[in-house]
This record gives sequence, C-alpha cells and structure tokens, in this order.
Amino acid sequence: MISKRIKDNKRRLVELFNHSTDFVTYEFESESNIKMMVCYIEGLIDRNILDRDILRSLTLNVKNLKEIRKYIMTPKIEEIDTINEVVDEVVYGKVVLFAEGLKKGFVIELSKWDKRQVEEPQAESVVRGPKEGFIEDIAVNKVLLRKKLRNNNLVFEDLRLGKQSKTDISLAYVKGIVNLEVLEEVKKRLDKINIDAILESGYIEELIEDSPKSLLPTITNTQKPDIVAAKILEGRVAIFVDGTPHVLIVPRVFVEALMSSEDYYLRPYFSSFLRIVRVIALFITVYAPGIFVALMLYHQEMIPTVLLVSAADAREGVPLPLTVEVLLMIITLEFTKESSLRLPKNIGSTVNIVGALVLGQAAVQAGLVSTLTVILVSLTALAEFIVPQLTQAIIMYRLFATIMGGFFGIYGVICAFFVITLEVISLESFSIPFAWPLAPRNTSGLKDTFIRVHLRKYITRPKALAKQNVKRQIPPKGE
Amino acid sequence: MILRRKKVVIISYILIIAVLTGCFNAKELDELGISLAMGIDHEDGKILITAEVVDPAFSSEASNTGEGSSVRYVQGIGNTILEALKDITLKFDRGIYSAHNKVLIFGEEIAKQGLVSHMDELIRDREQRESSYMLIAKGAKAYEVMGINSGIETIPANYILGLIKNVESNPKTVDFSIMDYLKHYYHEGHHPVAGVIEKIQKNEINETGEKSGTKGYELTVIGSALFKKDKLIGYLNGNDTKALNYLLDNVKGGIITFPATSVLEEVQSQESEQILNSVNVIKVKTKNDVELEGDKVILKSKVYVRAALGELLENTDISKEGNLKRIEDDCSKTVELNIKAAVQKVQKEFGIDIFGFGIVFHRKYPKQWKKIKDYWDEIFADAEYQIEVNTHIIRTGLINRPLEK
Amino acid sequence: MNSRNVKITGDKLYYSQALLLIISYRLLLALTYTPALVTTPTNQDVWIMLLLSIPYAILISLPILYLGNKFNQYDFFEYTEMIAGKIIGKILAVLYSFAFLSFFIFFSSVFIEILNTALYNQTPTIVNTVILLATCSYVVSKGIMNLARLGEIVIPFIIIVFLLLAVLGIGDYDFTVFLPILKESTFKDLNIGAIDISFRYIDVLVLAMLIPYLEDKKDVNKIFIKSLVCSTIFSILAVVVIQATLGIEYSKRINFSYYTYTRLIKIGETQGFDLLYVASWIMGNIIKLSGYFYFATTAMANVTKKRNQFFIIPVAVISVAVIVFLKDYRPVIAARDPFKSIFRIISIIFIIIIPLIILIIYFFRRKTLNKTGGAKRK
Repeated sequence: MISKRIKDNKRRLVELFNHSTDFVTYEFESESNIKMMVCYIEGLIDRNILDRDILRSLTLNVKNLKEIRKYIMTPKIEEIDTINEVVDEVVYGKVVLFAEGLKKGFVIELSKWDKRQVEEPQAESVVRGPKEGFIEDIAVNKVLLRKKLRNNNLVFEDLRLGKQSKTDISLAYVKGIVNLEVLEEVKKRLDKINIDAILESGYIEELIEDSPKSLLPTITNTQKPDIVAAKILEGRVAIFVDGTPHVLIVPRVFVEALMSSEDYYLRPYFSSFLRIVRVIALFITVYAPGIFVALMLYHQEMIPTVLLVSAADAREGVPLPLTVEVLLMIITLEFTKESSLRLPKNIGSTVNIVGALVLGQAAVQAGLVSTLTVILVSLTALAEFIVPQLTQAIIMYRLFATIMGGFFGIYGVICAFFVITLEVISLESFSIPFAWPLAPRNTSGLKDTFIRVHLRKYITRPKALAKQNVKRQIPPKGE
Repeated sequence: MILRRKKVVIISYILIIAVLTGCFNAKELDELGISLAMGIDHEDGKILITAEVVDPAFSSEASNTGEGSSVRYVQGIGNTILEALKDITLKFDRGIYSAHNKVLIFGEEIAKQGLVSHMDELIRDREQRESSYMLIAKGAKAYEVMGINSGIETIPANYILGLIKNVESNPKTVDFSIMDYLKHYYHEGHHPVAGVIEKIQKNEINETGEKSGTKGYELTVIGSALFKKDKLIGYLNGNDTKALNYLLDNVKGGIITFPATSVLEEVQSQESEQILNSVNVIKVKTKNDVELEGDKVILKSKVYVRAALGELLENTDISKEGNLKRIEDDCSKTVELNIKAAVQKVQKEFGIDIFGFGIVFHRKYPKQWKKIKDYWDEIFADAEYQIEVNTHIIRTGLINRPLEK
Repeated sequence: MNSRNVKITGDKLYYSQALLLIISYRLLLALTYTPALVTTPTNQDVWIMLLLSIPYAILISLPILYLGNKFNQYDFFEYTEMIAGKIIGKILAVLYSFAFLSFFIFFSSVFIEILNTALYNQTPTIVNTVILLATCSYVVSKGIMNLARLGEIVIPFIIIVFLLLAVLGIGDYDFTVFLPILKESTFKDLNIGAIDISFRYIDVLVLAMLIPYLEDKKDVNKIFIKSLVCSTIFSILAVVVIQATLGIEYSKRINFSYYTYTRLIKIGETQGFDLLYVASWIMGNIIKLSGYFYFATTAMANVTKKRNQFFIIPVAVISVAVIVFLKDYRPVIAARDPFKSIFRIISIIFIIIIPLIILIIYFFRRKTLNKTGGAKRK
C-alpha cells in the first residue's frame, strides 16, 4: 500500500529498484507548502512537459491536497493504490506523483524516448507501393496500421508477456472478419507462454508455432503496414510486439512466400508472370544442383550430346568427385553470403568482389571446379534471392536433394522431393493446412496463387480462413 | 511418433550412404568414353566392333586448338557383340558409353549373314538407343568408312549424321533407324530396307583452285540396302531409292527433273539434246492399294505431288493455264515411269516386297492373306503394277516466264 | 504429438483427392508394363478389349461397391465383422492385410526391377529397396490425409507428363497397324482378355478402404465410374501410342513398353524425354506403393486395435527382406508366368469371392442386422 508519508514511499521504491541509478525521485513543495514527490525513470519520459506542465503548475497553484489533480495538465491520469503498481507503471515510462498525506499516487502518462524514424524496411523494399515500415515502438506501429484501416472494427487487444521484460504485445484483427477459431487459438497459445523475456517477435513465433521443429516458419513476419492490413482483412490475426519492427501474422500458408505486396499494385499479367518466375526459381534453387549431379553422374544418356561433350571437357582434370565439388561450391556460396551480410556495407561489397573473383575465376582456372558447377551454383544463389522468405529452409533442402542426387541419381532426387513435399504439406498453421490451396485444392484459392487475376475477380476472401463476412467486394452490376 | 519416423527415414538414408559409399552406378564424366558411332563387322568368323570415341578436349570448341584428332577409334573382337564390346576394355582406358551413338554402321559381310540376331544385344542393353540411324557399308567393312570426314563437322559421326539428315532435301537415300528397321522386319508382307554408306574418291581442290594430284575420299549415302527378312541381298541405286521413298510415303523434299514434251517433237531427231525442267517437291502423298481379281493380284499406287517450279529451261509462257497443266503432266509422267521402273526392277531382280504392298493386302483381304502370306513374295514378283501420279504446281518462284527471249 | 496425429488421420478426403488416387493406381499399371499388350488377343484389337473390360470391371466390383454403399460409415473390416461375426471378421482382416502386403511386395518388386534394368544396373537390389521402403514408410507414417494431399500435387503432374509424352511422339505414329479391325481376333478372345484385364483392376479394394474417409459418401459410385472410365481411356491411349510407334509384334517383346516408347521420342536432335517419364513414373509408384503399404498396416491395426504407425517399421523390414529375396531370385516381369497366375488368384479371391460370400451372408442375416446394425448406423 502507498503510505501517506512521502519519505516512506521513497524509501520503499528505491529499495524495490535496488538503488538503480536511472530511477529518479524528486521531492518538491508547492508554494502552499504541500510536499509532493514525482518518480520516474530517466530517459523514458518527456522532461520538458514534466517541468513545464506539471512541476511548475503544481508548485505555483496547489493549495490543498484536493486540488492536485486539477493542476496536472496532461490528459492521461490514473490513480493507483499500491507500491507494486507504481513499479509497473514507472517501467513503462510513466511518472508517478505522490503527495504528503495522500494514500494514493497519480500516474501521469509522459512517456517519450528516442525512436527511429519511420523509414523503408530494407528487407522488403518495393518499387511501387508505400515505403513506410514498422519501427521498434509498438504505439507508432499501431498508428501505422490504424492509418491503413480507419475503421472502428479494427481492434487491438493488449497483453504483457515476459516475467522480466514485461513486453507489450498487441493482437490486431478486424472484428466481423477475423476467423474466430484462429483468434481463440492464438489467445490460448499466448496465455501458455511463461518465459523470462520476449526480446523479439521471433520468440513469440517459436513459442506459439504448430511445428517448431519444421524448417519452414508457419508464421508470417513483415515490416510493412500495408501487408498487415491486407492480411488481417483476409481474416488473419496480427501480433505486434514492442521493441521490434517485425509484426507476426497468423495463420500462414505456403504460397504466401511466393507473393509480394507489389503483386497487387502492378498489372495482373505482369504480377502473374512474376509469380510463375518465383515458382520456377524456388524449384531451381532447391533441386537444380541435385538434378544436375544426378544427370551428370547417372543419366548421361539424357543430356544432349553437345552439352555432354563440353561438360566432359570442363570436368577433365578436376580432381574432386562431382558431388563433392558441387557441395563444396554450395558451402562456399554460404560463406560469401554470410560474410557479406555481417560486415559493414562498404566492406561487404569488397567481400562480394573477392568471393566472385576467387570462386568464379581463379577456382576454374586452377582446375579446382568446373565451369558448369560455378554457373549452376550461381544460378541457385540468384534464384534463392527471389524467394527470400524461404531462405532458411531452402539451403537445407538443397543440400539434402544434392546428396540424394549424388548417391542415388534421379531416384534419390525424387525421394528427396517426396520427403520435402510431405514435410511441407503435412504442416498446419493454426488448423489451416499449410499447403492450402494446393493441397487440399481450392479453386477459388488458386486464383491468388501462381497467378494473380484481376482485382474484380477476388469476390470472396480465402475460404479456408474467412468464415464470416465472406464477401470482399460487390462487383458492379452487369459484369 | 512422427519425429521418430523421420529420424528413421533419415538414418536409413544416411546408413546406406555411409555403408555403401561406392556410388554404385555413378560414372564421372571423365571416366566415360562417349561413343558417337559404332561399326559392326564380321571378320574371320568373329565380330569386330569399331567405336568412334570423342576426345572432349579436342571436340569442344572452347579448347579446340586445331591440332590432334577429335575422335579416337577403338576396336574389339569377340564371338558375339557383347564379347567384342568387353574386349575393348582391355585396350582402351575408358569404358565405352554407347548411349549417344548417332549411327550404327554394319559391314556388308555381317549384313549378308543376317542382322536381327546380332541386334538383340543392342536392344536389350539400356545404353544403346533404338533411335540411332542404321547404315550398311556398301562393299566395305564398317571401319573402312568410319574414319573419313570431308565435312565441316569436327566429328566424323556428325558428318555422317548430317548426310543422313539431308534426305529431307534429296530423297535418294533413306533415313531409317534401328527401330524402323525392326518395325519393318516384324511387319508381315514387308521386307526391311536400310541406308547405305559408301566411300568414294573425290578430287581435292587446292588453294589455287586447281585440281591437285592427291585424291581424297568422301562418303556418300546414296542408295539403299535391301534385305530379305534380315539378310542383305542387294542394293538399290539413287533413283530407285527415290522411287522407294515415294512409295513408302517418306518424301520430305527433293526435286523432280523431267523432259519437256512440247519441244520433244521438234527435237525428236536429236535425242541427246533433251530440254529438262525441274520442280521442287513440297509434299508427296502416296496411297498404295492392292486389288484381287480372281487369282490375279494387281498392285496400285496413287501418288499426289505438290511442287513448286524450280527450273524451267523450256521457253513457254506459264501464265497460260494450259502450259502449266502440260508441265504438270510431264512431271507426273516422269515420276510414273521412274516408280514403275523401280518396282519392276525390284520384282524381277530381287522378288521381295519392300514397298509394303503385303501390309495393304493383309488389311484389305485378311481372310485370303492367311492362305497366301507364306508365299506373298512370289505373288508380288508376278503381280501387275499400276500407278497414277498427279502433280500440282502451286508456286512458280520469283519470275514467271523463263529468262530466254 | 499423439493427439495431433489422430486429428490428421481423422480428416476427410475430398472427392477429387480420392478420384486422383484411384486413377493413378491404374494409370501406373499402364505406364509401367502395360499388361494389356500381352493379354489376349495381343494384336491390334487390344484397345477394343480394353473398352470391353469396362462392363466386366463394373460387374466384378459390384459386391464390394454394394457393401461399401450400404455400410458407408464403417471401413471394410468393421462391416465384415458386423455381418459375419467377430472371428470371421478378424480372420478376413488378417487375410486382407496379407493381400495388400502381397500387392505391395509384388508392385515394389516390379518397380525395383524396372529401376534396376532401366536406370541402375549396377546398384544392388537392397539399396534401391531400402530407399523405396524408407520413403514409403515416411509417407505412410504421415497418414492417408497427407498421402492424398501429396497425390493432389503429384498425380496431375504425372497425367500431364503422360499426355505430353504421348503428344511429343506424334510424328512417329503409324495408325495403319490397327487395321484390319476385329479380323484377327475372335469375340471369345476379346472377352477372355477383357475379363483377365478387369481382374487386374484391384484398386476397387483401395476404393473400399477409402470409403470411410470420404467427405461425401454419396460420391462413391461417381468416383468408381469416373476413375474406371478415365483410367481405361488412359490405358487405351498408352496401348495405342505404344502399338502405333513400336508396331504390334515388337511391342509384345518389350518388358517396359512405355519406357521404350519415351526413349524413341526425338524432336530434332533433342532426346532424353525418358527422364521426364522416369521422374513421373517414380513419383507415381511411390504414391501407389505407399497406398498399399498404408492399407496393409491399417488392416493389421484393425485386427490388433493398435495404431497403424506401430506396424510400419516391422512391415517395412519384412518387406525389404522379401523383395530382395524375390528380386534376386528371378525377374518378376520378364519371367511372367508364376507371378501372373499367383497374382490373378489373389485378386479373384479378394475382389470377387470373399465380398460375394459376405454379400450372401448379409442377405441372409439382413433382418437381424437391420435391427442392430441399422439402428447403430443412425
């Protein structure tokens, strides 16, 4: 309980914060000798407003205890009774005001800290479409979403998770559209979380996923408000986590990895073409090395003669077995990628040049690898960047397919294909089959999968997701 | 539970990989001797196989220095084809890989003894493709024609392949694959034919444009080889092969040269100086038919030629419908005479049905066929032959009347 | 983990999924070794024989279909138990699990045989077999639902490749081999062949096993007829393509006809279309074999009241042993006769005789059953 005496409160609070130096208490007296105290955490609040609108006004005006509230000149004030609540409020950047003789404290919302500007997320940059992206502050992120859906049915539900971190989490969905089963399931799974800290939305992702051990993430993450808006309008639920620009969206289906928000802003034919390109890229990046190795080692009769002869010429004198050679190049490619990613940008480009020169030119000239392998591995790398959302799984699948191809030829590649495909289609994301609408097949869902048809044709929301308010648009009459 | 299965699956894959690291079937490209052509001969009672193996370092254009040869020839001897193939391994460092064989060349001797029994290995083995072309070395051993290359292609097999492919512009040869040969072999009332390859001398022309004294060799695929069942019994010359192609409906192009009749009367006295016109064949459609009149069998063919005017040496105004019609008739007549001559020659000289009239008979008179199928060849040899040719000229080229004044 | 597993298998099969699965079973038969080519009359009239086989196949499947429609809430073993009593039901379940197992082993041997002949002639049988069984076990462990989903992705690909390959070889077709029609074979020959062929259509058993999983039970007859017609058309197409390209005589001599046909396809100088065929063929076979494997284990599960996952690994190990033994003993396709007659006897017993007996018992005990079983059905 909050004591009437300021001194007591101060002592208890300082002890509760273990004499931490960023916890500030400030005692002052009004002109009518009423003793008051504010406490806050340095850097989490707006000192200007505290000085100008609160301390000054209180010092000048307060004559008795009842008037205190009147002279706090900010809109958001709450009253609290216990010391523990004080702790909870202070860590979120609020100022708590005590007065000598009052058994309660006033919580004043003054939080302000340095934030990054809203800028274009580098990982999801687009040519056409909004350039703004989420930042590390949940309040700003909510605003960004609200600006997309100015609608009273957009609901945010807040909760706090993490025993130590006390992270703000917010569920966002559109009432009347959201899939209620999914919403319930999300809440249920979030309730079960009991962890020290949530430092990034990746924690939540891993803790509420259906199959945490699968290679593919079954939860989307994005940094762009327009994507979140589009997805929750299909009946999904978004999970905002404070302290990270990555917003989670559940449930996810596999084909989302082949889509980009830009698809809906460009001409339908071009978008469809891009999507087919992405499908081909996905296939190439996973299976091309495996098929290549299988063909070159086991099924030479299926390679055109001219290509076979020149491939044989390229292989002449290469000391390593083909499988090892290809695996080696795949690993080297990962080296290049990883090293250029972690370095500062200007050094990163140097690494790229070194990588390209060393791998591409010198290795071939030294006769360590054959030219065809270099071409092939660079092709898989290029293709991989076309489907960036799947990178984490692709490399594993690629290695698996290559090894199987190297040891068992095309038969091995197909067995690998079965294991991989089965892995994908047996996943579920919040009781929605992950491979929907491919398997189980859904014709109306397929309209937004490998092709993107005209917007007028999207009359209903995805059937697996949206159970209520299914119509998305009413097409103009006569069409 | 599922995870345990997955582990089991992956573990069993890994176990197999680890325990049996041999990569059983794997053949690195630098262990392969890619054979592009193969010659099969009969010599001293044994089978002799000659393989034309590519040397990749010399054949790929990137590293072609112009020195050395792009192919190696290796030979093996044995009692059977398989034995001969295995014999090669004792003399050549790389295993012969025959999946890319473009042509199979059979020596004349082995062809005379019968081919189908030898083909068993070629078909049973998965490596050899049934679609590779089949040629008979006329009057020679297969290996005698294999080394010759007077074309642009660096690899002799590709040179031969190019010659066979030219059947599209000149039907004086046949482009039958092993599969086609077998198909014809299995047809009742049809004897197979195969392409022919022959070594001929050519005049080398040196840089100054004169004929140099040295004589080189080149290959030609003119003509075709006739088989009774699977035994070689003779050859057809170029013109007869052309007729054969017409009857087998296997013509994709070529020309027809024919004498002009309008001027025939004028120059009748000087027969040596015929005036010849030519047309380019665009499409040929042939329909063979057989008719049974009592005991007599009449063979009939209907040939429809669609052509473009190629060469008009006779001075005539083709803008007049009558003249064009007459040229068409001249052409038809020549085709008719040629085909008739070829058929009669085959009837007389060889007495076997290579044109497939037996199949037509079989289809038309299935009941009678059962009685006569064993001596169809004799019936064919004595049968009367009728042919009807229709030519239709649909293009005249860039000029209409001939250049002559 | 366990609860989720149950949930997946508890899911429903859609109409198109079941249809595709069943079509693939027969399509694969045509793609693998095209048994119709060596069934009487073995001449140009084979396609007519195939057409004739449709009514026979319907006739043969009638008992199973009737029972399946009548008891569409239960799987095959449950209603045999209801009709014929518990002990006989159990015995039948054991028998059927052996039947499915023998199909599984037979077709696996065929698969391994072609693989070893056409692609990997130096790889030991056991390696190919273990890989096949490992993959199939994994598919089966994921349940029928995921098998069906896998089929939904893979089977259209197989059908497209099949049709594409048929179109690519169009230049080599010679339709005159089909003349004269019906002159070389008697009506009796055709009918014998048709009956023989329709006994090879063991996939009506698969359909019977699928019925309890179906979303809409009314689709059963539709699926049966549609799949029968579709797959017969595919078989006819395969036969026509093979005979038109290879000739009647030669096509009798080859073991793996469609494979040989794809080897002949040549467009310009481009060859190697057999790779497409081999790829789709391996895919289809894994689906098909996994299906047999799954039903064998479900039948066993039905006898012992354990979950079918329990049987996967033991059955797989036994199958590897049997397949390797069988394969290293004698080629299954080339040395056709013993296997063919064993196979025929098995299918006659399990498709016709047993269901017919059950049907007869059902008609006798219909009244008592209607009181107990019928009420339970509602």
